[in-house]
Amino acid sequence: MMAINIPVHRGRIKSARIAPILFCLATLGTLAAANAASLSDGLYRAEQAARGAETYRAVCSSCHALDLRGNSNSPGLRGIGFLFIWEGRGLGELYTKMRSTMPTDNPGSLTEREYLDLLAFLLERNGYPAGNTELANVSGELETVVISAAGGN
Amino acid sequence: MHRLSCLSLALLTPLTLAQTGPLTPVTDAMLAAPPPESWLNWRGGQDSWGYSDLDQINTGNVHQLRLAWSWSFDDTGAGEAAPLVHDGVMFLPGPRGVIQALDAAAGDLLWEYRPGITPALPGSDATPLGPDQLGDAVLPATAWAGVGRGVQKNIAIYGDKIFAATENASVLAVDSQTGLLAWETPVTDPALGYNYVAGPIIADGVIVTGINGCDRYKEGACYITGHDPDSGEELWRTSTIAQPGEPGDDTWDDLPPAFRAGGDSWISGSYDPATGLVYMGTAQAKPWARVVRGADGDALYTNSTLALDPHSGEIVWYYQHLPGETHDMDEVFESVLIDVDGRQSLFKMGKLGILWQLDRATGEFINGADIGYQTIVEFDPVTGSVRYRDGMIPRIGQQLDMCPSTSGFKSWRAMSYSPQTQALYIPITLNCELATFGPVEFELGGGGAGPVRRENYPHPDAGDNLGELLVLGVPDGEVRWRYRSRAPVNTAALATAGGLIFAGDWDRRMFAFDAGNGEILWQTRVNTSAQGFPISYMVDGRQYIALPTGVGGASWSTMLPRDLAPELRRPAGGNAIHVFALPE
Repeated sequence: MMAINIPVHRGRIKSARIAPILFCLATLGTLAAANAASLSDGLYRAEQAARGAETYRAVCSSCHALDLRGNSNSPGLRGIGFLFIWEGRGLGELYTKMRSTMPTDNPGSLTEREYLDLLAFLLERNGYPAGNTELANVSGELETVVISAAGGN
Repeated sequence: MHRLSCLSLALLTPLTLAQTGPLTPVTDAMLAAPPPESWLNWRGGQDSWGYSDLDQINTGNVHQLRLAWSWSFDDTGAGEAAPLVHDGVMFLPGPRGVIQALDAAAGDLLWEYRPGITPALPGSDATPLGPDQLGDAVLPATAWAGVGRGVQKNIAIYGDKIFAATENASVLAVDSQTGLLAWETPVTDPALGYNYVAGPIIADGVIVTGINGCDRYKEGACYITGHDPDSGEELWRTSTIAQPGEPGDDTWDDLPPAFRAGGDSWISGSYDPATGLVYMGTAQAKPWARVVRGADGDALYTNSTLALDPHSGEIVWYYQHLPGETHDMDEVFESVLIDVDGRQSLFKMGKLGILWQLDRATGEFINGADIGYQTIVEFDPVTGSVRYRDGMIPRIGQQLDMCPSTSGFKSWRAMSYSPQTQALYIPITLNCELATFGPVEFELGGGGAGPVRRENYPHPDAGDNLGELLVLGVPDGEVRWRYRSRAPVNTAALATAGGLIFAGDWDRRMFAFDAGNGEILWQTRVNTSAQGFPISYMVDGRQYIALPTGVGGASWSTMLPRDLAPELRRPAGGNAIHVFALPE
């Protein structure tokens, strides 16, 4: 995987239109051989994100806040704060981190489906489009997806 | 329903309730000089020594210590309990605002207060917050923004009431005999992220509480309030952030007030009847890094010790430990009040591991000692001035190699002071971090601490050990002894007149150390991480040691062991109190 450098600036992401183009160019160059999926392809269903929203509200929001912007000990999960941590890293890495460390007072306590629903919710809130199939962790598929800036942040 | 429960308990355990009997009203004099049998302030005395005058359990017999009783409390959030004991009753603060009263000798439940469920006192005009307002406290599934993990570290007792500060940004009082709500005063809007995690203290008849959750950009700063214990009326409100037109305004460069964040109070303070002053710590400015918050100034009154008049809220003096702090090196922690050669002093330590001695009448710097583990600042022990080492001021996107990590060497695990040894017993955690600070959204609702790409690594001086109980002599800070362990030392320390120090670690062990030389004289292993504030008390001539365990517990508990001691595991649940005594 290659990290894709999208310039972000304090106060506003300015790459909303450029990012998908750069992303596509980059993925064509680096991931096409593996038939890697792209976040712009619509990797989750809206219904799945809606389920994730409910789980998020119940389990995650008390630390990361209802608006996903985080708090002192809990990083933001949307916008430039999220991208600063996760841009260029794999969706599978994020999923593994969620499963193995969250929620911090009871790591791994949700079902696989609930973690995938939460991931779908995070993708939706970060402006990545929904699609026709549910996000699933089939054959390590998530490992091949690189997180990059999207519109709608 | 609640009264029925109490009645049932009374029928089942009449001796227990007869033993506890009517509670003596707690006076200012009792808070200032607590009876040795009791534990009336969150750290024992108002001086926050974390010290018990009891010596029935001592270096000669502590090896016989055994469990008297234990009690699990709610696992709905992090357990960092600092219990109180008065007249044979233990008052236990749990997550999500729950307070339970237990027979401190037998371990029986006497009453419990549950937000939104427990009714008000008969004849009281208290108006409990409704379910819509209570949010997370009544049902975790309706968490509000910024309420944290429901932490309720400590509570206060005064007169015939127990006082608490809630995750929903209210201050309340319950009847100490029944647990029924006496009053509840909303202080501010929790939907803006405001919350309390540290409880009130009582200072000359005034409830003093500092608020938390001030990291986001919003209209309204962080502050400390004084409340009337009888009515809940707010008596004063003092901002911990310098405002336009006030002294210190220029320390925030040109930032508008809504973008001056931080200065939270997530640790309770101390009170000195001799000076008549309350001592409160404030947290660092937010966002953590100067370059991210857009101001290089000192950012008053963040990362300071404030001396407040409890009747007016006036800041009589302040001492800013790290002006313009820029790495999340918090100095908010407990103020330990010790007279040294007749000089009224205040000792404290922040995340960097610098022991500060201030004059608590004037705020003047007296002495300081860097324990020598940090790599961020140059500290002058003569003047107390701090200067960032070359290249150590963060820039966005540039990785820094720093010790400690943003978790700090010191955290909420409070130190204790033994007048017998004239030493401070300080739980610390040894760790370092490769840290890369990132930007925030510069708009109302944005801000926050700021993102950090973080990679923890072990401290080079500590081998495989994360935990340390560091013992420093007063006043010069010379190292008397240190105990190190693979797991973080994860409780506050408790010192007793029996020549003992009690503490526990993340790996479920609880210890009694010889205060003089650090020899382990007793240990046991419990259900989950030792976590919280150990206390000691006496009922009917028998001394008890109460050691809390807990889940959650912030980064010392949830991140550092996971990253740096992955072979250690703890159960997912286990908030509890474990009470030990000598055989009868």
